[in-house]
Amino acid sequence: MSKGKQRQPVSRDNNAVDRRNFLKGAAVGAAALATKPPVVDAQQSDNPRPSALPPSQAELTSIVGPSTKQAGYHFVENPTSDFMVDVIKSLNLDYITTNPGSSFDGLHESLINYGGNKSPELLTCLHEESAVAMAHGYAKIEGKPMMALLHGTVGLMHGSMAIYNAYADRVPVYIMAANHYDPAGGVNAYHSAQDLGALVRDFVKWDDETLSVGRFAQSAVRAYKIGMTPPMGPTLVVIDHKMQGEPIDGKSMPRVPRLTMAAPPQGDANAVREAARMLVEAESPLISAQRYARTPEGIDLLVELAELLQTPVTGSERVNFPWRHPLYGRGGFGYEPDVILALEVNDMYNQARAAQRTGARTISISSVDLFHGSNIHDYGRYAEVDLSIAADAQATLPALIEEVRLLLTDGRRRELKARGEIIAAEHALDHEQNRIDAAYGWNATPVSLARLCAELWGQVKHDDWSLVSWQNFISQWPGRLWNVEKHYHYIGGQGAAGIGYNAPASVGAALANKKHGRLSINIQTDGDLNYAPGVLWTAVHHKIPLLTVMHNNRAYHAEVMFVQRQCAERKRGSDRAHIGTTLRDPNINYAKMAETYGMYGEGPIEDPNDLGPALQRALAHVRAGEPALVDVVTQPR
Amino acid sequence: MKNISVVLPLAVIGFFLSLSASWAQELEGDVESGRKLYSAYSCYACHGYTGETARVRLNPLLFTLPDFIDYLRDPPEMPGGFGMGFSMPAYAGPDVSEQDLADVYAYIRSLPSTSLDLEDIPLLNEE
Ligand code: HEC
Repeated sequence: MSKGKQRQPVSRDNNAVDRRNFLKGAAVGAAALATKPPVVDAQQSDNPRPSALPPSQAELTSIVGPSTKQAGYHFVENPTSDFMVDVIKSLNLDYITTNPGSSFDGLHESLINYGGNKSPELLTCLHEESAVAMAHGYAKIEGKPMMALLHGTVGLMHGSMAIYNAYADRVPVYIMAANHYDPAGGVNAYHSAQDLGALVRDFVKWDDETLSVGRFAQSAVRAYKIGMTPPMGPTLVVIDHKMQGEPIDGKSMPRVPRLTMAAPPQGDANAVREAARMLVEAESPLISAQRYARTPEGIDLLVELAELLQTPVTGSERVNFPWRHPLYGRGGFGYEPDVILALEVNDMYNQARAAQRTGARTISISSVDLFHGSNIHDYGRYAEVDLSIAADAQATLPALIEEVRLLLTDGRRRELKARGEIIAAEHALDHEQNRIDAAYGWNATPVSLARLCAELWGQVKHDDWSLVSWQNFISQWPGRLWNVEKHYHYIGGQGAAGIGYNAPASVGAALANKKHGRLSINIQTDGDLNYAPGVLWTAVHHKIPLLTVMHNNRAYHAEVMFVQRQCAERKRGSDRAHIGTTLRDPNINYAKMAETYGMYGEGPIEDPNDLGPALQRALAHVRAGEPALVDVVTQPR
Repeated sequence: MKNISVVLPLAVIGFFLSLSASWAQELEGDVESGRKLYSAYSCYACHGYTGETARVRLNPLLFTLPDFIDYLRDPPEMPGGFGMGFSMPAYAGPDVSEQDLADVYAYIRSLPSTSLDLEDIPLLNEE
């Protein structure tokens, strides 16, 4: 990708081209110099006079018109991009992640000079996928978007995988991509598109191309509002390169539009009443929550509902409910749900199918029913639910709680209390079993993941900690051993299972945690880090405190298992599943990788007894405000 | 007739089972070869390097060698497994000999335990 600054004043540009042609002609015709007297006339201005000497000013003027010197340097006052910064500032964005690009050099300059590089502040990213994924992680902690500023076709394509993850995860990421709408001048042609947004339109919630300043102002504000209205998602504003540099005066400058957020949609009152009736009458209801809690209040509301109903709550995609709460889980051994309340469960197919087999009924409250793209099948197969409420689940919960309260008699409350005690006892057994399981392979080399998580927990549990990485590649050990109860204790994973998310999203989440003084922890899979490890530099450069502990199993481990099973089904080559799946020979040294990017690094650690002290040393750096990495060679899962 | 048609295949299966069992009983596993195969066959990937760290533990291995071979030749079908590829593959192809499986068996049996009792791990006993 070219980082060349393409934008130059039009008059200078034209003259430069003519002068180059002139000199080329001069070189070719040098041999004829002696025989032809210097004659300058109108015809020769198209067919330059052969000469090895530089042309005189008079000659130049006669050939190419008035000198550039007379036109002077092209200065711009009040560039449109200053006004664009005013609009951006009105959105209260704290940061902009970016990898620099010539298509937004004007806006870049306005952000750092006119905008003072504050609110928003530019964060230098080494890959657009990192830029977008950082914003993804940031939003899940902070509850508001960060902007990712991308360069033309190339930057948007680089960022597209991360945009898709955010889309599938229903997370608002504010993307601005700059287009050289005019494909003039060499490399710009490659960075120019007729409809730039088309490249990612299947997986943004909304996009617009803004070729006038008025349109920019409106669309920039609208993009924020649409992105933050449930179901949330990434939105894209495309800006033109040329427009950024055009002067704008007081008269042509539009107002900065006022941002008014939309209240999230609540469920239909009758449908909510019916849901309450089904839940209160159920013998063994279950609440299944996926991308439900948008804010910490969402957790409190769900606790209130579950305690009223004495109902187990399952789901670990993010923190919807405290994981040590006695009602957390599926109700324990033998608990067969007869009514399932699904809160923002994206794909209900499996739950609805299973319910049909056992005669259970399903209720879905989901804002995803209000918005579907067409091309991407992230919604799964069609699910036959019994009661479907198209609404934001968190916004609907207060009404549902109220209806449940109205229906609960004292007698029913007593019955439910007895049910809750059984569920609580089962929850306690699960917790005990997790600790027993953690003791297996405690002294194993390479290090067991249970040991890794227990060692970490021992050192961070008195901090205000935040696990910013996905736990499904580490056998959910944090969830099984740690006291996960606040929204920032765990923020889930990629969304669309696109690997390469974890490292940058962790850095973005850690940045959001920084101002709250939280200790951010990333248990980082090796395969994921290698997509774009440059984000380690970004963490160092911008002083983002984050402890990264490698789960280094030296493979794309899930694929080892998948390929091994294919070998099994085809009954051949059972000893070859490592080909194309493992990351050995040579082993990658992540401590050195960290050091290369300027980060404190330790490892590789294979002996579990070395782990505790190494974590302690690394944590000292993180508590002092910097990122650090410990490479741990681990059991596969 | 009905009875015979059921009994006959069972008897045939039983014959082959006892046959494989009697062969297997005579196999002497080679630990060093088993160590390599445990890795090459990806056993480590789903059961851990010491057979103790994943959901399905192989250490200590309670199977007899014939039962072990039968299980690996034809493990129970588990559609989807535990998710993300985690279900037991068969080792039934002609490239995997009974001797190979006996070697793997010997290797797993040779593995020391790296597990501790829960009470002996302070980290797991503090809240
Ligand atoms: C892709 C993952 C995977 C691989 C590779 C794998 N296993 Fe398994 N294995 C499993 C799962 C899952 C089960 C549990 C199956 C069940 O309970 O239905 C299992 C069960 C077993 C059992 C039965 C354990 C018991 O106590 O019931 C044995 C023995 C076993 N595996 C041995 C092996 C050996 C030896 C290898 C290598 C040659 C191997 N496995 C490779 C996933 C795997």
